[in-house]
Amino acid sequence: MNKNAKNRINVILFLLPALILFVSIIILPIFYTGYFSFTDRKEMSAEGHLLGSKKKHTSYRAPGVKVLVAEGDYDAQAKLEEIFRNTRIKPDFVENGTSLVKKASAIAYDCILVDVSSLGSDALGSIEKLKALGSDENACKDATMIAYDLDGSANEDTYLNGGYDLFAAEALDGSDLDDCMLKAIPEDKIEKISIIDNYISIFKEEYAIFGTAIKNALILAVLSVFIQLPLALGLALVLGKGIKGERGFLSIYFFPVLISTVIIGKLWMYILYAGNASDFTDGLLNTLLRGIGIIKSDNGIPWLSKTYGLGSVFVATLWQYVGYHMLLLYAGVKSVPIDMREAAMLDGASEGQVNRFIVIPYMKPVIKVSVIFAITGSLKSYDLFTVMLNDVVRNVPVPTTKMVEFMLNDRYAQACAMSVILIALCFVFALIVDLCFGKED
Amino acid sequence: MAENNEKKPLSVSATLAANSGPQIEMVKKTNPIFKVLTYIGLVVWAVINLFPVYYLITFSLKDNSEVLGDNKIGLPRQWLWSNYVEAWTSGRLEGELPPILRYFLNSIIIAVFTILLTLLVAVMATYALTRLRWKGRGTVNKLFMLGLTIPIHASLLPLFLAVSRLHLTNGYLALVLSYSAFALSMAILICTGFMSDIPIELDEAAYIDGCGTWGTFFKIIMPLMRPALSTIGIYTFLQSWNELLFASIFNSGKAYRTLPYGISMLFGTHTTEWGPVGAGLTIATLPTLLVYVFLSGKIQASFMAGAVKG
Repeated sequence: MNKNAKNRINVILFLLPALILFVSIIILPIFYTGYFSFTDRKEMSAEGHLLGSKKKHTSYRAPGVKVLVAEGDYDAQAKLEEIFRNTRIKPDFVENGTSLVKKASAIAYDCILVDVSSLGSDALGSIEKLKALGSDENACKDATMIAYDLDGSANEDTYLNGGYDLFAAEALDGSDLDDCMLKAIPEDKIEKISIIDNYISIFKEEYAIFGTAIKNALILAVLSVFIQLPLALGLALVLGKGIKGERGFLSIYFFPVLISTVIIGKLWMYILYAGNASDFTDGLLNTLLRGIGIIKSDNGIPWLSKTYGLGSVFVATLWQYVGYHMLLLYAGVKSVPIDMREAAMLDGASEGQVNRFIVIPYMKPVIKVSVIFAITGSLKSYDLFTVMLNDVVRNVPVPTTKMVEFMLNDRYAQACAMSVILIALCFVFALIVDLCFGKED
Repeated sequence: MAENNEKKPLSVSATLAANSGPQIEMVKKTNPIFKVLTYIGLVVWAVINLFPVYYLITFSLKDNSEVLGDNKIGLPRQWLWSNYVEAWTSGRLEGELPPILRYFLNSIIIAVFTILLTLLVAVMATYALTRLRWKGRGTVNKLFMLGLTIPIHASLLPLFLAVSRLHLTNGYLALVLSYSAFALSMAILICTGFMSDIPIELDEAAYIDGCGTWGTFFKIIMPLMRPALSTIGIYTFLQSWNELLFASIFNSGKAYRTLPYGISMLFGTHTTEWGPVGAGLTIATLPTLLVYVFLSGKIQASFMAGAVKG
């Protein structure tokens, strides 16, 4: 073996574990997230359809189409309604052959679906009755007749010979029924779904309010950068100068970083708890505020409500992360060479001037890292919101909580669209910060 | 060499502290009022940092009539240690570990394996990226650095589908792998900083003495990377210890819950008695607190080393 080949094998062996881990856990899933976000599989079940599934729902939408369904089983009715929801079709239901004939002769449906398993012999009988009606009595003479069964046990040919146009086996599974519906619906009534439909719907739909979620995350990011970081920088500068008790202060300030976020959230939830002073259920902060006369009435300020929720979460975030940023920045302050500081001092610079013209410019790379962490951290924040606001969190959304909410409701494609937007936001902001800091050099 | 490196962050700050004080004050005296104000500010912030913890510990020993009544801030009138017993045994089934202990152990197991895996994989990758010469290493390095900005949530859904299909939910493996992958970028970044401090001459000397690539890696590089390991360890620990979202979705079964998720589920959302909840939170915080009290200097030094190297 020549030396070059050996070297190459070594490179591969050293790199392989990291690459496998990174690609399989981060890169590939993100590609799937991107792919899912353009699909129409809102009802996709969690049992895994990573690559092409038999349950693939064809995406079409036909809000104007009138459909009549003869289905004797109420469970199946509910499931069918669910299947049709994505297509915006609102089917009418009847339970037996007699009402089917009655309804079909009155209203002009585009499509009539008959469940042969629950209607039994009625399925063939009623279609004969319908066909026997005169053309002016039968409003549905142009309708496409589709027979379907629920368990796949019915004989397709019996019904196709008996007057039905199409047959869908195991209709609740979806795919067969979708194919039939696409054949049955007149082409001009089918609406094309645009490929970015999921992206539009998460902003448009009333309960999605993803726009508000992004707005909240951005507010949090702005607060973090302009309140949290200056505070951390101030502490770092003061401590980095080398004052008495430096180590002690450092230890105290860094300590909240090591407490679990969930515990911090619970703790602040209790501190901010709002009850009523008269029946002794008021939390600590409200009592303190009442003590100094800011709150006059018995009812405290509802810190964890829709109005104040975002601010309260920010306070907890501040409490938790100032120490983190302070230590990052403190390391930056300490990395300033001592002679630079001394030279400036000898030239008669005051402390503020030294900080402004020597220390801060020198530690710019660390500040940049801090800013990026603060912004991406705010965009990704999840824990404190779910823990502190548990019931209200729907009304004080951030992107991640919305994403999880949609995921748990099996609306995967939209959840994926949300995470794609989240990734994009993180990258855009990292880039912007990069540019801002690059220019000043 | 290793000793030297290990002490670096501490010794630098020590000399700085020793040098800066008196010499600078000779040049220009700081305004004493300003100094007092600075101290007041520092102490106020320290109180703000400590007070919630004090509040937590005291209310964990009170009953509702005190927590919500007229003794919100003071020490408990009656020290209700029974709250701790209640928190410890809450939800405990016959013949099983107390839930809090179970969750704690789960978190520890996951954190330890995550740290070990991340360290090994990251140091190996960094070795290939910085010491070995090959085409395309810049690109691969950039690929890894993408991980710094990608939010962990973005891959949640596909990962969850895969994990549930492979029946890896409610176990340790899925979380360990996910956390390691997401800690990898930071670890490689920090590692690169440390490894570029090791002179390349050492590798060459080892090569002349007959050491192969693997020999150099395990006998020369690994021992010299010890200070980096503690730094990466800290960052990885902070990440895996606090993570809630993945833990709550992958390991929702009672036996495998981690501390964050376990604690958030332990008492339900609407408990009326505050004391036991406070006791549970205190129990969950205490071990970390104790470790920090003894190792705070080392932890901070490692953390700061990461900031400078990264």
